Amino acid sequence: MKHVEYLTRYTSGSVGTNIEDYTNAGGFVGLQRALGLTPQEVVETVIDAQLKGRGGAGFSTGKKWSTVRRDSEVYLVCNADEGEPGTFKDRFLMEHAPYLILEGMAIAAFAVGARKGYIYIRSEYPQVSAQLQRAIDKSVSTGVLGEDILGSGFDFDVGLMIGGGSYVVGDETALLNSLMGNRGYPTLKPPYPTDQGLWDKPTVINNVETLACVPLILSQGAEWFRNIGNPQSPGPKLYCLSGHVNTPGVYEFPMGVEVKRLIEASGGVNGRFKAVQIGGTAGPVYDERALDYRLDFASMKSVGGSLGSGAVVVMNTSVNMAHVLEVVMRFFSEESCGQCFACRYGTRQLEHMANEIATGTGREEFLRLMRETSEVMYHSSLCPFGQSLDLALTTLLDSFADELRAHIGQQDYVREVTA
Amino acid sequence: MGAANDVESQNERPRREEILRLFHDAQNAEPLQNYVASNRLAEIARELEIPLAEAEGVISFYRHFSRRSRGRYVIRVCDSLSCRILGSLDVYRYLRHRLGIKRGQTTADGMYTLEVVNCLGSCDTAPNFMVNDTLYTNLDATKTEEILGALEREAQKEAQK
Repeated sequence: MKHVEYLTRYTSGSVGTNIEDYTNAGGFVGLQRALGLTPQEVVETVIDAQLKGRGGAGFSTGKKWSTVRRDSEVYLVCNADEGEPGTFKDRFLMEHAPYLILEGMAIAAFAVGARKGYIYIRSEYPQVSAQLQRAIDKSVSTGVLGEDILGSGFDFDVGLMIGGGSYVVGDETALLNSLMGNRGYPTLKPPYPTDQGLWDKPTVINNVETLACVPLILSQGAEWFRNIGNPQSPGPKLYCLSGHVNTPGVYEFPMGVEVKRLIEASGGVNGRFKAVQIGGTAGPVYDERALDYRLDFASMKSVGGSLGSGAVVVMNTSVNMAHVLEVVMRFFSEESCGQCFACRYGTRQLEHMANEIATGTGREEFLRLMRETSEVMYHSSLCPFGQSLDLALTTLLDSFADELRAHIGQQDYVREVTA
Repeated sequence: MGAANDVESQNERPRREEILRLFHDAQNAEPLQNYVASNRLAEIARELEIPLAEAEGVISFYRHFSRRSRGRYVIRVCDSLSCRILGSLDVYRYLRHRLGIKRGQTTADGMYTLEVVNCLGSCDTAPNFMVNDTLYTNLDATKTEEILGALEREAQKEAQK
């Protein structure tokens, strides 16, 4: 499979960052088209394109839009709270193609009937926030955002909101609570945000990369989009290659590219391949059998995994998997919001056991106890955070069972980063 | 729901959604102390017409904000998997010994606070840390020392002004 330049066409040079250059490169054609259709037609086009949310859940974007309650004020939120370890595609897009995202937001807002939108960006990206704000201002003065967009009579304002350093806020219900000035606690669904979101008004939340795909669909057509990559979850995808590869970075491929092809594109493994974690910290950890896996929502699901955000962290043979276990479990323990018991207590127990295994004081039964703990969390945690850890843990324990068992009692590691 | 209702709901919430922005402004106010002092938090609560306990509840949820005075330079070392396997522990270890403080502590001279975070979203340039709002990439001990040296020269210059 060859790499493509559908999204990255707008991230090179000044094409994505200068509004004139963006317009000359075909920018705002999608918005122009959308404004000539009815909102319902725009929603149908995006359903027809089979665009799936790029934030990780992989839900049909068009279907999400079609479920918006229409009897009241509607809000649109761009989720730019990219906290998923190993993921930096949204940062890349916001840095290099802010107008593509803003155009996508304007089209989405028109489709769902929103007149007010927010971009919720994480506090770790201060320069990107400043850049985005400038792009918003420029868009308003150019007439592609704000009042009477491109002379269509449609008004849409975008506000920027900077987060406070919380991983859990990436969850859409938590993000809404944060946006309203509360603790960033996730809530149970239903009600879904499309029914009751910001200030109980219907609210659509889409990821940065999802919104960046929208102008392409409107300008090139649903069929064009559907013919890229795996027909079940089509379109271009930004994959984030990091770890032991020679040229880490963001790589655009059609959905469904094989892991080994991505590694090859990023300059090959630095050293000898040992393991890969896919989709973020809650994503599966595999040995070399993953090299043939295809990275799209449907294919990853069929092997019991998950595509997540499209992060690909490659590890060479210098990496000790007991240490990986400790890093991953510490992440969950530190980022758990503490709202529900299963996650609050479970993540601490898991961190404790992983730490004991890594530092050589663990017992073999911990490997079983960790699975049991994570299974309980899978069934009883309030939000996807506590539920999702099971996949990372079980794949790590399955793929590297011998190594982890052999590590029991080996004191080769002193834990230095403690809270 | 009618227009009158909407106006009413607007009035019911005096810009509560501004709270994170107000925390950011308070924390970044000069002279920089990198925290939100109690009197400032009380002002924010008054401004938003919410109980102080509620403002405290919100701010304590977010890792980015501190209620205790921190150093002139807050160093946030990323220890996500991508950074870890490329040497974030070496960087952390170097900082720990050079500054004589552990995670969460501030040097006695008020110069540095050392923190560890779970991802700065720049995994292709790992290992990384941020010093206040500036990201430093592809770090090792040598580069870390250069950065500290530059910060200390900057602080000295400011002190002489």
